Amino acid sequence: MSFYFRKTGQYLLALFGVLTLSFFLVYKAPAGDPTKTMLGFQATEEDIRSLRRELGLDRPLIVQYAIYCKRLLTGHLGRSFISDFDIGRELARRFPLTLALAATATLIALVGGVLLGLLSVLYKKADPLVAFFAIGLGSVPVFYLGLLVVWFFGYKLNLFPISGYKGGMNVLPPALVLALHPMANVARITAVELDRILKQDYIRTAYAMGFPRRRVVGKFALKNALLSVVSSLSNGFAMLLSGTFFVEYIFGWPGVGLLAVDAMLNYDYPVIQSIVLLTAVSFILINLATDFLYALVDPRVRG
Amino acid sequence: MKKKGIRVIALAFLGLIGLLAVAIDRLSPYDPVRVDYEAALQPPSLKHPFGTDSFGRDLFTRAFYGARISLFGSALSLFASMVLGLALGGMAGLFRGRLLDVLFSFFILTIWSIPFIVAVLALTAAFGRGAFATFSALAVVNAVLIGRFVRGEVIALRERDFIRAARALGAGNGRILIKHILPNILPPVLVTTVLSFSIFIATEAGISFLGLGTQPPTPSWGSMIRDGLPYIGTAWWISFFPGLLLTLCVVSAGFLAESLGTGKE
Repeated sequence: MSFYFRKTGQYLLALFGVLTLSFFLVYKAPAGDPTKTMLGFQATEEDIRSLRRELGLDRPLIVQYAIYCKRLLTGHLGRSFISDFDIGRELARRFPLTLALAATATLIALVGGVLLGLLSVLYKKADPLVAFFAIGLGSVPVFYLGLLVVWFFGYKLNLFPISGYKGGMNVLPPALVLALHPMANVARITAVELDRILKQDYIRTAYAMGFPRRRVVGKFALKNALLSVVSSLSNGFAMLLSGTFFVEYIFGWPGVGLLAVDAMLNYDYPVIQSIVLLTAVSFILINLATDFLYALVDPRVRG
Repeated sequence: MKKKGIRVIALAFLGLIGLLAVAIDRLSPYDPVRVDYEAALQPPSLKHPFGTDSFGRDLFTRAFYGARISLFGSALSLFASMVLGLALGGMAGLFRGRLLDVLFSFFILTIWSIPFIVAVLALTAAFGRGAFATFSALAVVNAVLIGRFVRGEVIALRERDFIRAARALGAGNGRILIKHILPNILPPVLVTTVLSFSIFIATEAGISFLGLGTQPPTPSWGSMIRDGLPYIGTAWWISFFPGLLLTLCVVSAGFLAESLGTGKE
């Protein structure tokens, strides 16, 4: 039991760190004084002073930090400096869209990656092809890849509307682009693990018992290889999260990533802060889940 | 043998790009930032191998001026992050359990719980924007990751006999760190650093692509790809060639690092 408590404590501490870091992100930022962006160039000294008082920016650092923590703990993310929308509500509206994109991409990456890995082990002829795919396409920066997809499939072949969320199958082009890096990763791990496992004794036993190769690889070996795929899930999720900023920007997908890019271009610090927090929380939760899942499957980890 | 071939090709390619980047102001008759609307949006030709952009600037010239920021900037900030990481991690390891180490470990834990690019993006936004902010953010985040590794290594080395012997002979912390610990941890740190090169290039390009990194009119590969975004249906070459160079460099740097990493084993 202590393993679970220790892990949870560690992640809570990390969360506190992110909280503090994102507070200083706003407090210390050179353009962090929001009054200039909010009031424009014609603002008088008096205007700026009263706005600073209103926002609590004239208080001492430690008081501002306490207020900030209390506000977050009661679930208030604040309002945008630029457009004055309620950040919590905006994120709640956009998060499902990002989640839909990420979930579709995860599915594509897992199924496609495992199939590719399996293919490269089962048919040696396909190996260079899979290697090219995994290393070659896996290293193309995701925003360049997205751009090429928009150009070729969107403009040249007119296969899908160029940008924006229009519901339904619209999720496929951005999800495919987003899935490529994690898919290459999964394919590589599956292939390497299968190669390693196929040298083990129980596989030889299975052959000796007369099972066909396809069955041995696809059933007995694959089951064990999938364990490593699961443990790489947190890494893959980080790739997905990073990719959403670029993919949403290119495809005009109105999720959290697009909001983040807009906020950064506008120096909208409360929004940036909230998105960093949201990303960190989801990342920490995924890591926690992976750790727990792994400990459940493999008791040695708990020790 | 095959590994060596890949390494030579990758190194030669990176060297060629670097050489062109250094020599581009001698080689090209065009200015990288001067606007010439008469020559706007020309497709690739002998006169303009990569075509021209919406301001009539020669993209070949801009691409290799851009290589200066992308390649040399990345290399420089990578080096800075290595030095910073060695210093921070070394100190934290040596003063294990003291306030400095506790603070640093807390910082490591924090950075570790945010995906790399999110941390870099957030820090870039905090530093303002532009190439310098981006490279500073990259250096800081990567230094923390290197520092984590260094701290662990120093803690393991600290109790070894040769360090204790040096201490018994009256060597101070600084001397121990530089003369005895550094030579032991430098090789793996160097390999990790080379491994990060492709990540630095790609991340800087990505942040510039989003509009937060290198600011116009200064060319960098990321900002050039961004320039082509509104013309993606009509003038594909604006984004295509900088992206191609970027991809080839990332792949080369990746192969180079991979061959180094496995060669060591």
